[in-house]
Amino acid sequence: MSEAGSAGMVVVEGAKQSTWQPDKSETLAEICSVRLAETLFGVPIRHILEIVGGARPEPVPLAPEFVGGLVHYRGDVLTTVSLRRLLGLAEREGSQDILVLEGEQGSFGLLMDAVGEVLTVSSKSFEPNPSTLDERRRMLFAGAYKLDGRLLVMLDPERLDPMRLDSIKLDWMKLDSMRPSSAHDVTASSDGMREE
Amino acid sequence: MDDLTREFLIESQDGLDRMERCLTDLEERPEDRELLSEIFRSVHTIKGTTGFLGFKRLEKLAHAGENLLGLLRDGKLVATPPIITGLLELLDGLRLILRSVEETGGEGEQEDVALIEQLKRLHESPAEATPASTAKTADAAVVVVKAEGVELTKSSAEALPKLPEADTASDTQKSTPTKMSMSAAPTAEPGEAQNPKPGASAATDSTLRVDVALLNQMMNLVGELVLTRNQILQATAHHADLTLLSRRLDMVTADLRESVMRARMQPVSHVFSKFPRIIRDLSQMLNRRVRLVMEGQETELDKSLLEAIKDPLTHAVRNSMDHGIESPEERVASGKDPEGTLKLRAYQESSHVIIEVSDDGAGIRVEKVRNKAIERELIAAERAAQLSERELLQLIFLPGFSTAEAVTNVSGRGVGMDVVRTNVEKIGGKVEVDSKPGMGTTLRLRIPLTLAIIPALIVKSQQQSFALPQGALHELVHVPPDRYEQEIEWMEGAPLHRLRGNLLPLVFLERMLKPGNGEKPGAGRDNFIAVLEVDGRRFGLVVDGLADPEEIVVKPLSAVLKSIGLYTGATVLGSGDLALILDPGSIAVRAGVQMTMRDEHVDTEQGGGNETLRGAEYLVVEAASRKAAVALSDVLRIERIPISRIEYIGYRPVLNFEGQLLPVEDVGGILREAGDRAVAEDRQVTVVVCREGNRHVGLAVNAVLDVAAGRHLIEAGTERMADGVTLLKEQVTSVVNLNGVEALPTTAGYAEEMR
Repeated sequence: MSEAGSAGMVVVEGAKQSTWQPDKSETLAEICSVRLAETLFGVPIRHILEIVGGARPEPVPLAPEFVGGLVHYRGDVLTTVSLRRLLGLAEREGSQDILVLEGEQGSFGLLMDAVGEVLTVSSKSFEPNPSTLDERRRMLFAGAYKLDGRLLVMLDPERLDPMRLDSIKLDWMKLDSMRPSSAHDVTASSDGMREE
Repeated sequence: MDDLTREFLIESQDGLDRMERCLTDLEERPEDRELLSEIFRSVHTIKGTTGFLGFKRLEKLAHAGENLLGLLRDGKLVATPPIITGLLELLDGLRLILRSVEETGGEGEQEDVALIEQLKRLHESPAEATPASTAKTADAAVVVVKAEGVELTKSSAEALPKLPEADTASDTQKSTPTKMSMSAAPTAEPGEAQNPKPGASAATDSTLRVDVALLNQMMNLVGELVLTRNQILQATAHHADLTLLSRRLDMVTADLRESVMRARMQPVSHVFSKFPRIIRDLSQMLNRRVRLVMEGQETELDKSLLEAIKDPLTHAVRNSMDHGIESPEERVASGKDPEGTLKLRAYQESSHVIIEVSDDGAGIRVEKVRNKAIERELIAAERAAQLSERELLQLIFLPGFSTAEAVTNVSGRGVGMDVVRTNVEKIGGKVEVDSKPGMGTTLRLRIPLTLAIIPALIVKSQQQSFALPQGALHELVHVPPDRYEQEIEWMEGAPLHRLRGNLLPLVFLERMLKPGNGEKPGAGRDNFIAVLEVDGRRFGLVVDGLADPEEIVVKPLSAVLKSIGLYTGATVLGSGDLALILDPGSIAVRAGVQMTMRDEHVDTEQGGGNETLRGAEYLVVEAASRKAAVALSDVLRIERIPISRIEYIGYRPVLNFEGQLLPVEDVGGILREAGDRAVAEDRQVTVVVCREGNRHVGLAVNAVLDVAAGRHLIEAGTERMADGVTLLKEQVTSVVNLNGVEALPTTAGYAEEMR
């Protein structure tokens, strides 16, 4: 992943905008597909440092809700983010796969049920988040690619950075706020977050 | 900044550090030519290189200094205190410019005219005093050249660095008369000055500058290796054919770790060396006469720790100078030598380095401490009245405490000893104070050798492992399920334990980590109370399981987890599992444990009265219905093992302990007895693993009874300390002589075979 330099930056810049919006002219992107519960998610491969399989994260008592635990990674201790917890799903028993991503302050891990194949997708098949999506998911997802027969929901590694998640210790973290809430809730809305 | 400049900066700073050390020595031995040459060389090197790099300001100043130093070195001037002061100012001046170069890349705009003038005046004054100062300048060059000629024949090595200096000397007319008039004086034997040169170059050939970042990385990798080794040792424990290999890996890893750790070590002289100067300045400022004695400067400590103790140590020394050592008049009045002694001593004691700052000053008067503490409302008057002297002394570590009558600019601003303690405890060290009114005060800093790898006890709570640094751990108390009700008492929801008669507040780890657990956590299972003391807070941490102590490698946590505040890091255990490292200090704070002045040992020690009679703490063991004592500081751990695990080499009982052979001393003949009767396999024996010199030995005993403070006994009539016995709870108890445990006969051969 040493070439994650210039090309990767473009994607990150794009992610900072309202939603994922690649160029109008068709470009191709390589996306690593991951599965969590029933959904197929995607993470641009240029953001992934490494994929670690079969990990059993050590829980950290009193840690923020989204922390999935610690894993030993190349001589360091890696903090992981549990997407299941973020989405309010039940914890999964047994080992999990971890995507090691580059964060603001060092790398972090993203816990996934299983990592799938790498897909090449066209920017033409991309659509931003639908407005009916609940706000928590709107904040975490970056849109979706329309594949044959199913959707590839894009995750934005920058928004999943534990530093970032920790800095917005807001109501939306509470699991009972799953219902689609009013879009006027400034602090919790995805607009509020983007304007940072 | 280019490499050349950086190299120059490092070299110059080294040189100036050396110069500072020499200058303070010079005050005592103003005639020492070797010192003078050393100083001269430092300044000369700077001047030589600056000319090359184009630092004009630096060159000018170094040049002025060099002229003066040249005269001193050649014995044409004597290093009087004003000259030394001038040279110290030169040192500061040079440092200032170097710093400016380091920070901004330039030398700064200021001119050092005043300093240069001062240096010039210093070497002119003796010239005026000599009649020869009227000599004609025209002859100057000739005389100088002649002088060179003489030197060349005497010592060619010495003359080489002198050449440029002689040239410049003839340019500056003012200095030449001095030179000329003095050149008649006989110079020192050439051999003296010649010697240091080859020595110095040999040292630079065999050493190498290494980036600290690289060393840190190596340390990190070695830590990884240690973890892997631990895992391999556990995995191969049951494979006989792999034992040799894994032991070898074990040894190589241990050696490698030690080498890398050593590479990070620096002698404490790096910190000590700045004190002569500080003492000199402070003596003048405070009107004190102080002699500085430094011992054990070669003691080594990890570089990062050395940095960390700089400030606390300076604080302690300033305190001693300001509050400890009296003015010469006062000292004479109380019948002491007008010159006070400040002693800095460093020595290693197992895995710690002890640094002592002691003075023979007024000592700390406890009434004064008590009054001040009450006045500052740090303690209630009633409470203070109950405290013993030793407890009162601890009050000086409270934040906001200062006994100085007046605030001076040296100390007395109420930030002092608490900062020293906080800083030292931050790096896992401890501070102790001992003081006797009228006799002096000793402050002892106990610093761990390294930070990256620390000994820790692995504890369990709700099936999860946590590492508890052993630095804060005092003792462990096991509470079996059937003793739960008696041992753990509740006072309106606050759990307490009676530890030898004193109430100890308890903190249940599981309740802290998962708030809102049931009323009485831990009922109906084994509980272990880890008695911890940190920042003067003493409490018991209750966990539900203990695993082995391990040397753990500290891994930093991400910012998100660090902000929880309870963990200082994480580590990978021998089993490959991750464990969070608990921070006893924050646990105490979070649980609301207050600082207590109650020092448990006081009870037993108070009776001693006379300080010198006070002994160490002992582990009381029972061996064949007899009580014996083992110095607690020697005890590494206590193992309960089946007697069948004891093996024999010839007649010597040994224990295969974590892959290493441990000679076992059969203190009370328990093993012999057991062997005779061919007892059942499951019979247990307690082995106390002790440190003796640089080896470990085991003592086979029936049971461990208690920990108690012992007192030395004095032989009647001789006033000599009796050896081998101690007074424990008013009972004379014999102390096990670990030194007497015979070394394993095969040790050397075994080691050979391993290699």
